[in-house]
Amino acid sequence: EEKWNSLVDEKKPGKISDDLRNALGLQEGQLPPWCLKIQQIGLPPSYPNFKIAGINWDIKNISDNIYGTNDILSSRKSKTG
Amino acid sequence: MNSNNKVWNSNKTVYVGNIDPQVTLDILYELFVQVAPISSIKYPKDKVLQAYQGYAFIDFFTEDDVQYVIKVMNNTVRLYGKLLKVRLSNYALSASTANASNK
Repeated sequence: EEKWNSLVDEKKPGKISDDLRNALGLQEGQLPPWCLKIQQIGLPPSYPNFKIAGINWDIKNISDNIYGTNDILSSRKSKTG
Repeated sequence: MNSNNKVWNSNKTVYVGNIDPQVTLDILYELFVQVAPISSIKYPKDKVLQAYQGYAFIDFFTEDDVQYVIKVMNNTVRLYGKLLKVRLSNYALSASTANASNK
């Protein structure tokens, strides 16, 4: 139960850990394989504010462990501010 | 609280197959949360060998999420070189994989 809660806190869309990156065999600067599919069929229904590098976010934002952002707080902030 | 008698045949559950045994529960969670929030994961291990059995059931919150996950993730991702198969869970099928002769 505790382990599950820490997973939910830690693992977020747009972020990939070294472990996942290694399992995927993902090269530096390369988008994860599901991004192409997202580009074809649209954003996830539960993440309407998802920003993905090279799709609806500057490709320069890509780094080792970040390819996108689904920061609901910051997108709310930018709407009200 | 005991939620172990949950039925894994709703249309909010996907079956993931062809999983390399090196893949951990953490990696599965992290991978699939990229495209939809996850309610729970069942990733069985062989009790004797203590090894993962190559498949998992992942429970999502809505049917829309499930349809989307299947479209985006089936035949898309290789983990340790093995191409993941993602489809709607079929309890009857998964419960009888040992004797899959009766169709």
